[in-house]
Amino acid sequence: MIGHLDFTAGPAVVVALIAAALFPAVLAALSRLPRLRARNALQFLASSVIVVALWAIALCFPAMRASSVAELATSFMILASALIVYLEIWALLSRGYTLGLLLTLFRGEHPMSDAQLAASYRQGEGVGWIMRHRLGGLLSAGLVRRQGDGIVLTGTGAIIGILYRAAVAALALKITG
Amino acid sequence: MSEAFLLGAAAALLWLAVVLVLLRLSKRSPALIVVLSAALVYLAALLASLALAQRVAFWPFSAAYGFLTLCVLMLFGALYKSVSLRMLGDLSLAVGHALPEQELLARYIEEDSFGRRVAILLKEGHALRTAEGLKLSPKGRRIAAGIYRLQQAFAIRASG
Repeated sequence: MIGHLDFTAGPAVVVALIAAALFPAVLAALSRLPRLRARNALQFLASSVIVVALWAIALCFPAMRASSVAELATSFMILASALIVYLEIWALLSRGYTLGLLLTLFRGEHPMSDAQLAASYRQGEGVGWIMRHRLGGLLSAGLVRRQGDGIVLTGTGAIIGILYRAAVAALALKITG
Repeated sequence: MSEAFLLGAAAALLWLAVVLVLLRLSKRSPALIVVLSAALVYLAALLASLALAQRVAFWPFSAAYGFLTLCVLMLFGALYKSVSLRMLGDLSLAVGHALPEQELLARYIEEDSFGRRVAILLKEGHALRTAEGLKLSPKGRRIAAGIYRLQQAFAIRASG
């Protein structure tokens, strides 16, 4: 206790902290499995499922059981928060656009013009790759569709687009994407 | 314990209000504003809880605050940086909700997003523009080497 702040951690809280600490090791192991190679989203999902399952199993043991619903909720929020932090870091490492440009300059080992940097991006796939990749994601999610040489929003895509613009205006963001 | 949850939720609401004001008033990076203010409001709420007459449970308070702010931060990150969401937003403004594919490519990748990200690398001092072209600064090289090692540890072949 410091003042009126009580640092006592119940067993369920300790279980959540251990599960959160285990996550990077599980992810590192799964990312090396041949069947999951280069499938970053699936690697993260599988690791999350394993860690959450281990957390749930551990809480079933009498010694680690939560003493109240509030302790169980605390334990869950700690684990969920940790997974969100890992997800943000993982997304940055595996999908970061600016980071990709930095690494392209790092791998190139010599100065590049803007055009050379754009062409060398993602080990020679070029910056057009990111557009094809993101567009492919939107197409497979059914948020846009092809129509001749154009890209057209679907109904769901239009709703998300309008909500996105409203949120950007509410947050007063001047530059996005 | 439920008081700690309420205190955590109240602190998260206070942070959201602070963010909404600061994003309108400050010219600093929006990402820096939301992350730094989240940490500062957390510290301020912890200090304030020391002055409270009744006991506050640290873990439930921190879990509630952390979970709520991280949920908002995740949404904010998507709004602020997602190329896909920006494409949807701009398409929703276009006539007939449609744009030629090549125009999308030119607009987001070659003209806008790419140029802006190169400008960020230059502004943050991670890269330098020389007569031969763009090259990494010593700081940029250190950061890139660290990220490269991290990618190797998790078998990430490329980012983007």
